[in-house]
Amino acid sequence: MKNRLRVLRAEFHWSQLELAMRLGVSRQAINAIETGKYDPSLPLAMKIARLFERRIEDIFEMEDGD
Amino acid sequence: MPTRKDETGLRPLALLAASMLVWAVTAVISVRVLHREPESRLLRAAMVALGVAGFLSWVVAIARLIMTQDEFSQRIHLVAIALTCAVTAVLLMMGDLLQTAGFLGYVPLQGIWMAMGVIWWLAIVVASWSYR
Repeated sequence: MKNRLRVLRAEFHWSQLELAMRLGVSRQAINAIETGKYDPSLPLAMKIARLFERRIEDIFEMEDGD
Repeated sequence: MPTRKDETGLRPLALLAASMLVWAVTAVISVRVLHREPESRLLRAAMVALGVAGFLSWVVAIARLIMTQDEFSQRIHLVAIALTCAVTAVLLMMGDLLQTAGFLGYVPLQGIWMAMGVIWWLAIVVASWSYR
């Protein structure tokens, strides 16, 4: 699954650690999501969408094979 | 309603430390009594149960500690535990065959779970690295 988390985080001028603290997860979790190694759960994805005031599908996008 | 996720801060670590103390005390008591080879079957069974109960308290504390972490850390632990089970199973099967073939002598059961602890630690490192 592709995502725009890194782009959105840059727009808000937040570090990975700052975003992690706002979401209540570890910095490693943010890094793994941004690099596409880990797909967040639906509750975490909704939390991310709410934080950036976007819809989930504006941040996460299915890829072929997902 | 409070959940495991609300158990932040030092509480899970304090529980872990307490459980390790319980494990150590029960292990010492049960091993000391069992080494005296008591006649009573009931006493021997009770000492085995005591030792296992002490160890279980540590297992429960570890599980609670993992449950307080975020979903990504829980995933790392899930992968690490799966890896540990798989590697330990392969090593046990290999050890069994090596013993049957006469290449390996007696291996104490204590050594197996100590090896499992080392494998678990390595599995956490490998699982963390695989998500980088």
